Amino acid sequence: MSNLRLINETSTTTGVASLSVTDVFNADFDIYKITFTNTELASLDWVEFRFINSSGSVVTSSEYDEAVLELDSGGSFGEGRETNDTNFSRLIRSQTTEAKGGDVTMFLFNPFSSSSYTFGLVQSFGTITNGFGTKGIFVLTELSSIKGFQIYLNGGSNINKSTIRTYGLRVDS
Amino acid sequence: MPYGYTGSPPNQIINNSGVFSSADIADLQSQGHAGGSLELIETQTISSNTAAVDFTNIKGSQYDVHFLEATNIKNATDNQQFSIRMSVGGTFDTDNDYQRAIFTISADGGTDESRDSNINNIFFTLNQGNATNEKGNGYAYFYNLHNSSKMSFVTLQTTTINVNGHYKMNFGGGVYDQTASVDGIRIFMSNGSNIASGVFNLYGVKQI
Repeated sequence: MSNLRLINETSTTTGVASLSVTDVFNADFDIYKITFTNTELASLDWVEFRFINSSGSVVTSSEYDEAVLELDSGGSFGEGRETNDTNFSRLIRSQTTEAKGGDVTMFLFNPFSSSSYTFGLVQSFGTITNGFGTKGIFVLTELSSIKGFQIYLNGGSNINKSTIRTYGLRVDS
Repeated sequence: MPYGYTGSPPNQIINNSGVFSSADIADLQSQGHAGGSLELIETQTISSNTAAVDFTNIKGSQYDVHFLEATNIKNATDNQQFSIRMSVGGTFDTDNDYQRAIFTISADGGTDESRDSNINNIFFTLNQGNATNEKGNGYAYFYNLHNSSKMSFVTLQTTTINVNGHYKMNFGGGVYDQTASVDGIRIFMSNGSNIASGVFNLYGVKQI
């Protein structure tokens, strides 16, 4: 048996402004793997990401840092960097049809711990005009206990479809 | 239902305790709450020159995310690329129906953007050396292979020794840009030479 444990599956097939996954991080695991699949957006846009704290509130403080390499199969690669931002702003740049919508695998480290920052690794691939992927890192520089997360679009339009699965990485002592 | 009771479970919601029955476990597994979530589909071990490693029973209807793990992979010819292709209806697509965007970093200096939006495969490793002990390792995630109304996306990361005998790592991804139900994955050398050795494990990532 592998040490990956499915914790939660959240999906939407109707247009929503945001999609939240709550109460998935706890003391059982330190490392989590999250997949985002079957995504279709109302407009070509960046999908953005925020954490939800133990009180159930979305963390909007200016304590997100990120560094993302943007990989374009049809043009020069780009760098996306932010410090003291209010979100992780480059989860994936995705399309308006499910056929062309991209997919993401993310790893999160120590979200539940209130004595450690929450770090993330992200790798995605989708399409804009051509194939377009990302490889990135981000951190929430806040010592708070995180229990969930939320995705939404930079431009405010809807997420028409998405499936989010959260797994815990079990450590056997 | 309450879990942890053999025989007739009590008709109330209570905390789990006691011994889980096989029915409990089967029910919990069906909901994704028990059992490992990385399920091995097939292992292929290569120990002599082989043209391609084909996974033709990928159980696509069970998984919308697949995970390929490659360890100690070695090319028979120096300075070559391990590559990926997909099959539809049992036939591997050799047309220019793939795109890739991969960033490479070498310990002997330099980075490179390896990209193409109209090509017949997706690179998995690049410029891999094949001298003694020069082997590569890496992984790839495949998304929505079985979905006939969706393109198939790949993200990957590999770590190798390059043709100059220095460390080289690659990360990025690609897309099979056809809306078709993919039923197979092929690993091969992009120039048609052989795979000398390696272990390839294909997993399904569990879903409910």
